[in-house]
Amino acid sequence: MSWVAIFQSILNGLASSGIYILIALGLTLVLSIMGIVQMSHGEIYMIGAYSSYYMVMGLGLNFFLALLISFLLVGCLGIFLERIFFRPFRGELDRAVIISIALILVLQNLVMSIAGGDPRSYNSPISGVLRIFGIAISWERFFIVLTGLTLLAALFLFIRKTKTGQAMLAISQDREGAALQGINIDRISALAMFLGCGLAAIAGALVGALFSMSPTMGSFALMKGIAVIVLGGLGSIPGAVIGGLIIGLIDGIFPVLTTSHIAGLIGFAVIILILIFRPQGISGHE
Amino acid sequence: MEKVRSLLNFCLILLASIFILLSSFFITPGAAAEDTFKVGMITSVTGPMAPAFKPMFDAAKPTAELLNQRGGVTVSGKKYNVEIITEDDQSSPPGAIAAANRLMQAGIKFIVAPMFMPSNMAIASVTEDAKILRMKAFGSGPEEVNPQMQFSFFSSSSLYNIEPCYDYLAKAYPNAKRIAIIMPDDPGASTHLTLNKKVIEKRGLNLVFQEAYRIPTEDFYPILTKALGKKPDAINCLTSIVPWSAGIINQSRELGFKGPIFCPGLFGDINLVNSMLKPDYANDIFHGGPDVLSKKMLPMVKDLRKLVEKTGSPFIMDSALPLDSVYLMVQAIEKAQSFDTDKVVKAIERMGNIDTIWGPGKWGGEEIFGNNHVIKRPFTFSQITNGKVEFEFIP
Repeated sequence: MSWVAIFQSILNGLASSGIYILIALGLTLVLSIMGIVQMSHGEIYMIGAYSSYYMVMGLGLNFFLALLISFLLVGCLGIFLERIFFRPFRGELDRAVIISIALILVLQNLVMSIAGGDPRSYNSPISGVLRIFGIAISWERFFIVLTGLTLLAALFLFIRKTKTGQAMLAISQDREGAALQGINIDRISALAMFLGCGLAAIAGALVGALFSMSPTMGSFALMKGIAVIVLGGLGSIPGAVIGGLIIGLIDGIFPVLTTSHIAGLIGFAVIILILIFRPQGISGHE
Repeated sequence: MEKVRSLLNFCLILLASIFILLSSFFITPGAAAEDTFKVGMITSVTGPMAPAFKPMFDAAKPTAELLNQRGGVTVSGKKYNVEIITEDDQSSPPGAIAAANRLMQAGIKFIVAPMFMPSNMAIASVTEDAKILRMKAFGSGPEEVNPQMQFSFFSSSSLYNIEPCYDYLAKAYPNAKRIAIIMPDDPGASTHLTLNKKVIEKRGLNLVFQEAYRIPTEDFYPILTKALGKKPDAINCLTSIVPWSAGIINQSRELGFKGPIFCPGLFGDINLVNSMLKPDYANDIFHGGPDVLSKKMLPMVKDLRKLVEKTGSPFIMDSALPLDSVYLMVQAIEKAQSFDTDKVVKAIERMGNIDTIWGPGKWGGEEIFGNNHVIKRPFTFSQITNGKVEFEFIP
């Protein structure tokens, strides 16, 4: 194996990490604040992809403006879902899981009946390929990594530096205690859902432009998102970053060193090994 | 007052019951059933395969309408209208078996087989014993059609596209000697792989890389990094669906590959693939499948396109698949002059020539499948050059 291939595979892994972190951030945020595993997070991601697609291809909007509007629109959809479907079952893991699985079917079939089943794609304005010493990466992937890092920093600052962010942190640590301190749990839950869905929408829109979109694209995203947050530690934002980096690098490097099937096995073996020694995940609490 | 209201309600219910009873004497359920030839179609309307196969569901009614405009099916001088009854396999073999059972319970003896290969293989366990004739459009290998499956047929097989695709490669890219095969981890691809390897060896080409990617894959950078490290002149995708095809083409071009990328099976609908390619990358791409929007399409496909588009659904290659299958069933039934599937199978085995929606065909397949249950028809060849799809029939 040449050095070019090794560096190329590390770069591939970092690009995949950017996508996984974006997906996992929203999922872990909702989990930590609301205490539910939002199984329809993948479908929210898919709706984000389709809404940006229609704004760019149908309305002719600028790609970046479409990303912003998509973040806001899908974030509002998140508030609606929280109010109607999740608030009554907050903290009830099993019921919330059933509700969110039902939402997967509803949202998938809704989009399929509106947009049809054909896969689609659209070109983002970020084109071209960066080539250095035989290593290549598209600027589009580079932009996804950059967006992931920016959103991560913004979320981190929001949680650490604002009163609302601190309230989120308090709820994630002890919901009852936070309520006793006068924190409005309903409002913060709605905000968490807004941010979680908004982040998923941006991830979906970027991946939709990079690869392709279809009404069932969310299943793969959910699978990766759950693997990342389990590995990183349920509900932990730094954990989502570490988990995303590990799984992204495994996905990027091991298929080049062996076959994609063995690489898949290695990926899961690494997750299982880490969980044996740290059942709470890398950055999770006991 | 309450008593009068109750009495009135009772009289209304009584009148309604008498009306229903009387009308049942005038409606002869047998008559409607006798005038209709019901064909079942199993396809994926929900689940992960639905995006690929839902267009078949959307095309069911227009297909029946077109066949009925052309006279339906005539047996013993009596005309029957075609009706296609669709069942969802939920993208899974157990779902397909349940769908096949529902169709069988409704008395249906002819089924347009599911395109999802594991589903079609699964339903064989129930349909073969019940003598249900299954016709699959764009079939692949002997896993689905073989002497053990007496009632299973293909309207064509992509295995017959391999040689013509390599003929074109040799003609258009004479310097392409090093071939990389990047294929899905799909049971349908195994026979393809064996036959492709034979052709590569026979033609003195060099297979420099071969690997299967997991389903579903979106990011092909890792497998392409490895493949391009072997410096291939051409990439063969064997068989694929639209998102994988677009992913492999776009991402291999990003990584600097400039040679031809081809698919002896199908890339999926070629216009959809083209719409998903970055403009600079839409070159040197070809496959053994039709461009159903081409002006060169035969009248039946053009007529079907009008009917499908009238419903508001887009017309893509998969929209033509129900017609591809049912049109053959209609001809076979008329040849047998019976709806008895034993007689229809015998008629097919005696038929020899048959008309297909892609041109004149001939039953064959013995050399690969062990029986003559597969149609050989004109090769449909499409390529993408400078962002445009070009199509031709090759006899």
